[in-house]
Amino acid sequence: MMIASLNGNLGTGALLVGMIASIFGALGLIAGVRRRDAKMIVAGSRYVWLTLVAAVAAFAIMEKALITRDFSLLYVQNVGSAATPAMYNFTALWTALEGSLLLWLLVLAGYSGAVAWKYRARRNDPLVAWALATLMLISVFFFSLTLFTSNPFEAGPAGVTTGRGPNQLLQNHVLVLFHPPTLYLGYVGMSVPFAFAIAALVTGRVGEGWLAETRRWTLFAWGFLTIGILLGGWWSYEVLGWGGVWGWDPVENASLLPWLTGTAYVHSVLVQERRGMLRVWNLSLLVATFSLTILGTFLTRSGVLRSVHAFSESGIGPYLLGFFGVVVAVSLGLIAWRGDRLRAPGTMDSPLSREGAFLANNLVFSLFAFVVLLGTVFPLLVQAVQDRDIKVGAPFFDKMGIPIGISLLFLMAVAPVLPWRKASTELLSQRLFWPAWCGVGAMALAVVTGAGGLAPLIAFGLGGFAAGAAGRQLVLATRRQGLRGLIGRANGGMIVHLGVIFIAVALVASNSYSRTQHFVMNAGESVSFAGHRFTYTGAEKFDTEVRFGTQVFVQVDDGAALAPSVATYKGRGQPAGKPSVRTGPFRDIYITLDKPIPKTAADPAGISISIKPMMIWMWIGGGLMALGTVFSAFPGRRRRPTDPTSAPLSPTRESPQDSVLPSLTHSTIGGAGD
Amino acid sequence: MTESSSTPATQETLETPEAPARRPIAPYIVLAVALVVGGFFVLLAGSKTRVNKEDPATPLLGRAAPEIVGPTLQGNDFQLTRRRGSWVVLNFFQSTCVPCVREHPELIAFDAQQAGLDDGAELVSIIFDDTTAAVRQFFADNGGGTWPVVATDGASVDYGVSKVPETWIIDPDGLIQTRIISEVSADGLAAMLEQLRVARSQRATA
Amino acid sequence: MTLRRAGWLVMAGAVAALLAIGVNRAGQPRTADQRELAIAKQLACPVCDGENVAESQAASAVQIRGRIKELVDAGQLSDVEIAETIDAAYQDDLALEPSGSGIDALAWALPAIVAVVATAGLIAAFGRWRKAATSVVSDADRDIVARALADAGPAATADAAREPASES
Repeated sequence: MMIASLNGNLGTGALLVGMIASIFGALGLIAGVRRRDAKMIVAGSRYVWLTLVAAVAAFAIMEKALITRDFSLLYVQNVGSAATPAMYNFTALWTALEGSLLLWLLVLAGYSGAVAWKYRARRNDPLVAWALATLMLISVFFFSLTLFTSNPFEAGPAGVTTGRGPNQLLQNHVLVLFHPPTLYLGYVGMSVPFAFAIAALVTGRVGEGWLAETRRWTLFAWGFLTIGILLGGWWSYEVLGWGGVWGWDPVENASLLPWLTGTAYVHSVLVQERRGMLRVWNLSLLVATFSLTILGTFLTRSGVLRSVHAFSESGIGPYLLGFFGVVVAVSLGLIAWRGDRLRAPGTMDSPLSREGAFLANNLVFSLFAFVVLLGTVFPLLVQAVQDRDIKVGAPFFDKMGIPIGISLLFLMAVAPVLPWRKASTELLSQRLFWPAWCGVGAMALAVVTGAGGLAPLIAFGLGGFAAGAAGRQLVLATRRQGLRGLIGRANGGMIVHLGVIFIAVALVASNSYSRTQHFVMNAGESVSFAGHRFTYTGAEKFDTEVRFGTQVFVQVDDGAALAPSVATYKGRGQPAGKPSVRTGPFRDIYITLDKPIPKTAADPAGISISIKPMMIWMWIGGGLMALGTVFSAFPGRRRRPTDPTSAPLSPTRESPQDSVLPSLTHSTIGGAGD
Repeated sequence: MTESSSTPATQETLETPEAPARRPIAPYIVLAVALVVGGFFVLLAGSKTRVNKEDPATPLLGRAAPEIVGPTLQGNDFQLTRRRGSWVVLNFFQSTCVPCVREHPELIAFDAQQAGLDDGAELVSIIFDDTTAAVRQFFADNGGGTWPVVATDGASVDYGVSKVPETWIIDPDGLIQTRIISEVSADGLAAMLEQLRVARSQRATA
Repeated sequence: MTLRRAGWLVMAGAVAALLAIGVNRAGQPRTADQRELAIAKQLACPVCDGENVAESQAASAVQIRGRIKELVDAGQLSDVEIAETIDAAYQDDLALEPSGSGIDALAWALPAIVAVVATAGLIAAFGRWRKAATSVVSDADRDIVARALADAGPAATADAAREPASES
């Protein structure tokens, strides 16, 4: 018992230290910057490190408690068990609300530390000091939230020697190790650009300087958010057994909302950098992105919405909502206060221009975010007004998503070839000609392979068109600069576009042309479905320390057998099915075990077989998006800020032989050290 | 730092010769946004925690019971509307459901008790998502099943049954009087029936 | 130029033909299986969180699928009517789509209203910018541009029509 309470006390202590350190850090930084007291700022920034140490310690202590099976902690009783394998025991930390807050704290403190480190030479710069102070204030909130409302280090009833283990769905796939940390890196990472936005407003330096500071932070967070969301879809596909990647569940929507506004931001920020316009709008997008991460956390952790990802209920709802209110109120107040300085200095010449396309993009993304938010909270609205329970689910979002998705594909097709300021129709006709034929080719290919339906064909056509436009830019860039041309924001962005198009096409194809059939088969029996022969070769029962259940073997054609299973995790009760998937370049075969579940090898088995076209392209598209994001984080061919924006650079001034190395030395544009 | 920092500087010098007469619309926009977010905030603050309700309310109360047709375990054809004229107690069950097994002795007792009455209710079991073999085994193991046990495909859907056991009481006119979610006891069910009988006879005399 | 215009016309024709084939394919009468699946996807499983009737293996979802099959096979009700019938039996708790009447219609109307208002706002903004852009170009501005161009060297002024391919 002594050892046991040690973990609990140490953990609570770490949280307490973290909270106090972040309070001191915030106070020191704010007081220092207001009094122009460099010493105080230095002292304040030191507390950032203490906060980081505390967050790491809290995380490590909980891991230690899980690994050493310290069942004196209530949290370990809830998500740990003596039998859980090492990896799932490690990931158990973030499978429930209290522990997931520890992961949040770790990531937040990590980002704060990274900001403090990167700008260590400039910590007296009010912009940096205010940004760090904002991050520290956010830390104060999350440390006290963890400490006071859902402390994972709380002691449990004495005498417990084993626990229930993690949620049954969170202990049978390796993605559990990657999805939540990746998602949090994205989700929490949005705090950094938000902090700089607040700092810019407070200091009044609302020009383009702070944008340059946050560009890469935003891209970093955005990239991780993207990958995190996709990994979540992949996990859903591989584990949940309903065969889809996205169910428009409130938790999924909560991660999509900041992604949508963040995506709008990474586009519209280009307009501000190039033209100095849209200052308020960009600030608002960053504020919206950060507030939506808080709001999403509220919606999914407070129990006001029903969800498959149900975290146990707790009292943290009001605090999160309060914090959301404070964030929005403070940000709005600051924007109103700085309104005079935020006046855009320029004008736009023509809607038919790169900036016009970015504005259209922002319109569609904001509308998308609005639809998702509205659909997610609409049941609450009806509940409040009429005290009636309604549901808003996939059919609503799918219907709304069709026009939005098609608009976005269209913009992706046209926007990349648009010049800044103004384009003529003649220019468009010339530049879009071959990309458009790519679209026709894609559509023809779809029709030849048997696709039908108006919306899917338009989506395929526009997908091909957009891919053609992105490909055209990439070809032009590599022709001029070789592979070096792929690096940089514009062309890295085109690679991201290609990834998005792959995902869009795969989504449309799998949503529109999946086929599913349920068979009840006896051992040795074969069925033919969708051009394949499926033979049910037998069942096997298993009973391990962790779980028991049934696995069946289905041979596909003459190949290896697929083996879907249904398992009950001891201590969890609810049986959970696990599909078995054979991935192919054009279609996946997806098999689940349903009722009747065979009790002996002689019993008939219920087997659902799905054919899902193009699924692998979704994961390839995700990889492309990640790659493109990395490429865009490096500076492309450099342009002096005073260069005329529409004129091309002469190849004589910067030769294609320019190696990557010298340009990497410029990679910290706006950064601290150089 | 050299070049990028010159960007904002350039922008800010360009900023000065600004077109003179522009109405300040920013405060109004901020106000509008604040109002919308404020309303939203109030909405969220006022919303209750969701619980999965088990509400025995049903739009069918007092209405004609949806028809149930199907073969019984004994091999006869069952039709609910042919039972008009007597009280009918429908019990939706599944052989693997634990509360159903727990409830079963009560149903046997209830059936025996009603058989002794003049206007005793007829108990009818409706199979909910189960195989005939499993149900036969269930009655072999637990006794009972002297009353009709009906296999239907969709009856439970017409009654809006989502979890078993559920018990419904239908009066001699074929109107639904009561819906009970979860387990029943023989005495409780009998008492409820008695109340309904009394209320019905009072209505008839009134 | 004329060649390209002809190319665009051919393209328009090809797209129209392909879409016609596709729409014709989709217009074929649906099989009973397709209808059942479409209806099941419109309804939430009554005992699950977040799964629909088509996906769920819960007993009540299986029962509802069975009932949908019976109603489709009976051939008297439309998809919408079948979904409404079943939804009504479960106290209107299953429909995954807000209905088109009463307060529920707001879910459909609000996005449309916001889209129209935002688009109108954007158009108005471009109108304002156009007016503003025609007015002030001071000599000071011209000086800045001239200096910048001189600074960039003659190459920058050379061919403004050529496209900036990989600008960042």
